[in-house]
Amino acid sequence: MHALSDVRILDLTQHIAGPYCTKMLADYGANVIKLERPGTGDLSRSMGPFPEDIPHREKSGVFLHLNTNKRGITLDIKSDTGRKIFLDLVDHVDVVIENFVPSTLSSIGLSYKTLESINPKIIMVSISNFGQTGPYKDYKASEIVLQGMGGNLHSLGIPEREPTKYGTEIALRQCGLIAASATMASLFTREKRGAGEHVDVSIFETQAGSQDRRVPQLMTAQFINKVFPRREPGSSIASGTFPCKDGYINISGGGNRFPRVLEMLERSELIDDPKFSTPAARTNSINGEFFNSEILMPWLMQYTMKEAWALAQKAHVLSGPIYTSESLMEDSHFQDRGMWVDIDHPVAGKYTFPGRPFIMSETPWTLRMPAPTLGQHNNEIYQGLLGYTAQDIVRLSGTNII
Amino acid sequence: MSKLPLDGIRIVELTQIYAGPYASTLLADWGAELIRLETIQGIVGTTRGIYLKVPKELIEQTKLSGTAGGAIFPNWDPGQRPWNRSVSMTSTGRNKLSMTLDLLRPEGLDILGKLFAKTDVFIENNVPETIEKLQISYEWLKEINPEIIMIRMPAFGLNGPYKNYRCLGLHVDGVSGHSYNKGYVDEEPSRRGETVAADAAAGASAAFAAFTALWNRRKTGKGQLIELPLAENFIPFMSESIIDFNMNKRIRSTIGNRDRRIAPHGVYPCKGDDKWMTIAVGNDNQWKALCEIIGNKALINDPRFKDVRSRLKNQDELDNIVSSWTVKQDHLKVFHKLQKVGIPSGPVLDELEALEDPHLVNRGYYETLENSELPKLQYPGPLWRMSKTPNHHKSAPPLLGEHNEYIYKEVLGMSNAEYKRLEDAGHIGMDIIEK
Repeated sequence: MHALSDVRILDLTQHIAGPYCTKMLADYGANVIKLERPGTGDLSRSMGPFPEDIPHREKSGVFLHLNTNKRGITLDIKSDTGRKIFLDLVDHVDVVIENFVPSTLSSIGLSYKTLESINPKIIMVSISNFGQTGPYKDYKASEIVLQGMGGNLHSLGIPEREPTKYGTEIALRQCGLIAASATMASLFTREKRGAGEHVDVSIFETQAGSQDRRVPQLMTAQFINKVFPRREPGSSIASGTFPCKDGYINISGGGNRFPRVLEMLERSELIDDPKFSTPAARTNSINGEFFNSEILMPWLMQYTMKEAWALAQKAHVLSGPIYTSESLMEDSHFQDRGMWVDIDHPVAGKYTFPGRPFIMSETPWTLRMPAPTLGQHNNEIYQGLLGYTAQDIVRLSGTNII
Repeated sequence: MSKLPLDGIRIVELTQIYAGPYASTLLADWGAELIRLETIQGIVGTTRGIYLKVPKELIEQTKLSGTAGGAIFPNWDPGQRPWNRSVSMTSTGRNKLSMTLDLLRPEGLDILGKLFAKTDVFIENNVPETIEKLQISYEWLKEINPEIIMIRMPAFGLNGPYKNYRCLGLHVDGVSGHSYNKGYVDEEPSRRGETVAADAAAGASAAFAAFTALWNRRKTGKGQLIELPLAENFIPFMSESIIDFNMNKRIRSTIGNRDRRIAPHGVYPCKGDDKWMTIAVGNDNQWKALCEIIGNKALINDPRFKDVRSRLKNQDELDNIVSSWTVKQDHLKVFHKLQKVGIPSGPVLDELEALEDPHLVNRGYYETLENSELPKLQYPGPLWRMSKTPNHHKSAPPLLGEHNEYIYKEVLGMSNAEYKRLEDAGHIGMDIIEK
């Protein structure tokens, strides 16, 4: 039994943010019907990575990851017939989730008002770059633009150079998680009210309120009416990413955590050195640089990153190695905990993917089906759910509506 | 008044810094009664800062160096009770209640048990052995209250060799492969800058997990244990790079501000000190439009840039051309011009600029809150909007122990005499005891 097995979702989203949201819902049991454009389908089908780098719309690694446990249909919702079929579907689900440019759906007669008139309990969750209202609502964006405006891009990197963005779609994926909560929230309000509502999720706003240091920095800036420049790495005492024998390790050992670092180094007597004895002395960057280059780094260079990590942890020093995908895949901690799943896809073949993000003791994450091939469940949904005939399907595919 | 989705749900948290507190912030924003368990027996963790008495020299040194280190307060003044003025509490405390009790004494644990009998969700993000030492377990919670949902957020899991490893979000970024895939192409990993994306991802997921378990409980009447390791929750964020390794044995590294599929794509300098903008040209039409805005139509037919493949190949020259134009532009103005012709672009906003962003202001995003020890500050509003469920923040972050009276007397039903006794015993209070 899954936690969300009684929730039916019609998923119009594509690319990253929307599919991440509906993946969370589907992976914990929701019945998700993914609706794609006939012919090309979800944009992420063209994104890769692909086996042997050969593009194929059924083999995109990102698509295969983000669309597990969903059934897939195709429908041209911009055609008159497609619109009618869509409204038919709306009557069979609890939630519609979409990430079109705002006003796209209303321009083709599919506004929330229309949906609500057909099914008063329907919930619509709209995910967009900037939200459904406001001066930027029609502006275009991409991950880097959203990190720059909403996220803390300004503070990432080193002082004398340009800010550098995150190494993955942090803004889009985080927004997907928030939108999954927003969807759940609207299911709860529907229970209280007996009617659905329209939910507006702006990626810009989910970033501007995110705790990956945007909010702490917003507070800091208001406290002192000033924005700190990006920090020079290696100048804060026992804090930063340092080389070791076979790679790098990050250590956070400044402030009141510093004595633990001395314990790790078996140099506890240094706490009496005036360069390191008080919090203020340790905040001085000259002392910090001296400690890092003369004491900490020579010690670290004796060890591999996993050895250094184990020694650091023994002394309770906050730390972690800088892994590549390879070192991560090879780490037995994650293998033994069963966080990876092999997904066997009828076209793409069998590959290993990240599995559950969290473990629910009573209603576990399970892999019920791999990501759908384009239109894989057309017959099942159109005939089984909506009661169309086989001839209807032939006619609709002939006119490229499905 | 319309009801918020989590009205009537009581959540108790024993959380530190960002991942745990962020999860419960999202739930408190949407109506849950959120009780923070705290203590007056010393500063524990760093959520309420690091120092009971903040050394003056440390504040002076922080003014110069800009390293946070627990010495940043409104107007550089820690006040009489610095724990009520810390950055991290201010960041995650809105809409929450604070109760104090000493969990290191059996009496404190007894009180906690009584509270759990009336609790829907308990969230903690401590090192597993810390919770074990406190003798708090799901088994115990379930015995008291079979409907309770317990969410545990260790860094690496409740079992396995790294179970009790201590780390911050940024170390999870390291282990997941994010740090290796982030930052300057021409700098070694030690100079690429740190990121802490794993905390926020964990907080957002944990909020979803709470909603999901509550949804399930309404059908079954049963609670459950949720184990949400920061690493396992964040590793899926790195799926593109991980799957490339699994499919093609390719080890990806950072590509800086560039993109694998489109160009020009990056962070470009603008007029002024440390002012930047982003541009992400997604197709040939956008490229043509950019050439026209730059005022260099000859570029449109330049074979080096004629299609996306050529532009990807000649990115150094391309970025130089774009930069030589952006460097003369005002980052807060020029993106409107680009957006008018459909080019994805925007300013890189620092925090003071973000507070004044016209779009966020227009949507009424920030909400002003204050309490008796914190000045008026702008807080991010609820992270999504619901058409029939208007929602605004109820309260500023709580002072330490601010809601003791309500929780001990109204929720737990204790008498005035019992309350007084617990006050004298060092459970209840608003001032941290100096030892």
